[in-house]
Amino acid sequence: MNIDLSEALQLFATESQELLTAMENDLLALDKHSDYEDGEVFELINSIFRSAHTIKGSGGLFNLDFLVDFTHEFETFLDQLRDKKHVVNKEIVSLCLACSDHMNTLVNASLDNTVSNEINASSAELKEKLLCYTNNPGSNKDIPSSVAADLWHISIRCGKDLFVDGMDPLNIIHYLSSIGEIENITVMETRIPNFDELDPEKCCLGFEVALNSSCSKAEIEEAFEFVKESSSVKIIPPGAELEKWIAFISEMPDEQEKLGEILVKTGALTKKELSLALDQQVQQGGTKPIGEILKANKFAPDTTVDAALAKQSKAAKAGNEKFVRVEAEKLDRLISLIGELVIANAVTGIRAEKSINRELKEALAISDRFVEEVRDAALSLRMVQIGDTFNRFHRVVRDLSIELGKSIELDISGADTELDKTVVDQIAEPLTHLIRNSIDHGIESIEERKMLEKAEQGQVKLNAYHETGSIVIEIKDDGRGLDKEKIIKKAREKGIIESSENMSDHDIFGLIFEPGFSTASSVSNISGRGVGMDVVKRTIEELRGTVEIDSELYVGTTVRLRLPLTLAIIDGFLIGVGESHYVIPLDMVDECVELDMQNWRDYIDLRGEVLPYLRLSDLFDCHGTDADRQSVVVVTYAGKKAGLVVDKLVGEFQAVIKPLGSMFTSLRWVSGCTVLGSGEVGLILDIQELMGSAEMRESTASHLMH
Amino acid sequence: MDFAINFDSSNTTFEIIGDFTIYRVAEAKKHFSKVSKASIDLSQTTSIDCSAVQLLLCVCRDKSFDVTVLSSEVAQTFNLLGIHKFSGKAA
Repeated sequence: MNIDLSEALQLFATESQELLTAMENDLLALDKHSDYEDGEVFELINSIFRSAHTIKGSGGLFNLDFLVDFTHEFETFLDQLRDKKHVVNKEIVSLCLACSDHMNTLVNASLDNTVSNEINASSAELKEKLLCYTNNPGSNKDIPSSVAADLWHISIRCGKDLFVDGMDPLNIIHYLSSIGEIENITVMETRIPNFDELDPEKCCLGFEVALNSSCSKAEIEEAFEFVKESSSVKIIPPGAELEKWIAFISEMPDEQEKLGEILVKTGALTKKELSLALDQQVQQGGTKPIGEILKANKFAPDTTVDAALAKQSKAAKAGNEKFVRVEAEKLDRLISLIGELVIANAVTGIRAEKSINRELKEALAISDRFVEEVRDAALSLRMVQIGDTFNRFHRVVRDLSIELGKSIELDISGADTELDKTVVDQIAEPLTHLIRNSIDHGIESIEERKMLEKAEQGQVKLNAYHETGSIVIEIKDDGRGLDKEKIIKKAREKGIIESSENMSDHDIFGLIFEPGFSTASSVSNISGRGVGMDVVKRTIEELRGTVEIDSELYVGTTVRLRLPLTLAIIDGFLIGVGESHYVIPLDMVDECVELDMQNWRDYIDLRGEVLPYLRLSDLFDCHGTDADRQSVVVVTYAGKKAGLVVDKLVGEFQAVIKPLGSMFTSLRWVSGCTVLGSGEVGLILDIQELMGSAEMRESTASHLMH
Repeated sequence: MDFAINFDSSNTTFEIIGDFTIYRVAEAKKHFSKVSKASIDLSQTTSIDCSAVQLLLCVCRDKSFDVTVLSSEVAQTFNLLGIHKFSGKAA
C-alpha cells in the first residue's frame, strides 16, 4: 500500500522551521550572555539542544538521513557545550547559527527529498568544523566551577544603599555558611568604580556563591529577607533540583492552573518572588506575560518556566482550547466572501429603507450588527503580531555588526502590535533595507563614535504603535544623521533638482527616495548603490502607506513608516459631492461642521484655529446642482488637520476595499474604490495626499488671518 | 581599642587599628588618596566589614597598594569571602 506522506512532510517542515526560529532566537540570546554567569547559558543551550533533538527525531521518521546525520553531529557538539566542555564565545555562536541555517536548508530540501551537491558540500564543511571541537573537548577554562558542580548557585548584586541601611553582606555570607557549605565564593568587583569616583559608603559589591546545602529554595531565600528589595538576588538550583522540579511539573495533573501557582507548588518559585513578579506586571500595565517577567528577573530557571508553560498549554488543550493551522489562502477566501456579504447587506439595507415594512427594517438592523461582528472577527483572524518580523532583525544586526566591525544594539518595542498578515509579509523586505542602511551608513565606526564622544555601542531602535487607524513603524538610529548639504549637492549633480530654494527639511530628506540616489561615499555589498530606497517607498505606497524621515546631523535618523491596519475592509464615512459618492476612512474623521456659504476663502476659523480646506467638487470636477448647504469634514492624519468641503454627509459605511485598475495608477487623491449598496462605485479618498494639498494653502491662510 | 589610621612615611605603610567599618571608610579613603603607593597593615584591625573590604579591593586594584599583614579576625573574614589575593599573612 502506498502512503502519501507529502502532507505530513509539509507539517514536519513547518514545525521544524518554527523550532529553528526558536533556536536562532536562543542562539542570539546566548550571544549576549557569553559567560556562565547565573546559569542562564546552560538553560539556553538546553533549549537549543532540545530543538535540534526534536528535528533529528522527526527527520528519522521520514528517513531523512542527510538531515539526521548532520543534526547528529551538531547535537554531539551541543551536548559537549551543555557539559561545559567548551567556552561559549562569538565564534561558537556563529558556528551554531551557521548550523541552524544549514538545518533550515536541509529541512527545505526534505520537501522534495533531493539534496544538491552544493548542500552536501556545506554539510561536510560544517561537520568538519564541528569535529574540530568535538574531537578536542576541554577548552573550558573560564567557567566558574560553582555552576559546573551540582550545587546551589547564588548570584548577589548588592543595592547601593545597603551599607547606609545598616546591612553588611558579610552577615548574609555568614548565614549561608551556617545552612550549608560554601564550596566556592567570588567577590565581584566589576561594579566598583575607579578609586577617585568611589563613594565608600555606597555598596558596589557582588558575590557569586556555590552552596552545598540540602535546604529548599525558600529556606535559602530567607538569608536575603532584608536585602531582597534593594539588591538583585538570583538563586539557581543544582541540576538535580532542576530535574526534580521539571519531573514534578510533568507529573502534575492536567488542571488549568496559573503559571505562578504551578511553579510555587514545585518549589522552583517562592511566594515572595511570585508576589514581586505580579507587582511588576501591574506596574507594566498588566500586558507582559508573567512567564516573561519571571524569566527576565531570573526568579525561576527558564527551563522550569518553559516546562510549566508547556504544562499549562497541555492543560488548556485538554480543556478544548486548541489552535488550528489554516492555510492563508482559505482565510483570504473567507475575507473576500465577507466583503461580498458586506456589499450584499448594504444593497439589502437600501432596499429596506425604501420599504415601509417595519419588521423588515428591524430584522435588517440585527443582521447589520451580526455582519459587522462577523467582519471584525474574520479580519482579526488575519491580524498577526509584528514581533516575529521584528525579531528576525536581531540576526541581521548581529551579522552586519560583525561584518562591519561595529558595535550595535537592536532595541525592539511594540512587538505585540498587530496588523494584517498581508502587510506584515510585504514590509519585511523594506524594513530589512532600512535597517541595513542604518547599520551601514547611519551608525559610525567605533573610532568615529569615540571621537564624537558618543557611546561606543550604536543603537538601532525598532518600534511599532497604532495611531488613528494606522500602524506606525519607526526605525531609529543614533548614528551620523543625514547631511542636508550633501543631499542637495548630490540631487543637483544627478539633475533631480535645479535649486533647493524653498525646500523644507522634509522635502530635502525625501530626495533620498529618488531612484539612483545615494550619498554614501563608498559602495559596499550591504548598501550604498542607491538601489533600494525608491523601492522601499514604492512598496510602502503600494500598501497605501507613507514614509517620513526626521534626521539631525551627528544625532541620528528616524524613518517612520505609516501603514493601514488592514487592506481588506475599513469603516468608512460616506459623503456626497455633486452626483458622486466618496469614502473617507472613519478613523481619520474628527468632526463635521457646517460651512458658511458666504465664505470665499480657502480656510475657516475652527474655534480659533486656522483650518485650511479643499473643495472636493473643484478637485474632482463634479459640480452637480448647487447644494443649499455644504459641510466641512475635518480630517486628521499624522497629527495634522484639514477640512474637506462636501455637499452631503451620508454617514458611516463599511467599505470593502477594491483595488483600482492599473489604468488608474496616476489618479491623484484616491487610494482605492468600493462598491456601494446601490451598485454605484465610491472612491476611497487618499487623505494623506489631500492633506499635502491642503497644507500648501495653510501658510497663505495663516498669513491672511494674522 | 580606639580606631586610628597611622601612616609611617619611612616605609609608606598605613596601619589601621580597631574596627575598620562603614563609620571609618570615608576617613580611610581620604588618607589613601594622599599617596599613590603604600602598604596596608591590618595586624591591629579588630574587625572589618564589607564596606572596608570594598575600599581595600578598590585601592589595591587602582593604586599601587597592597595589604601586607592581617589580624586573625581579618584573615577569617577574607577567607569567608574567598579573598586570597592580598599578599598579607595573618599576624
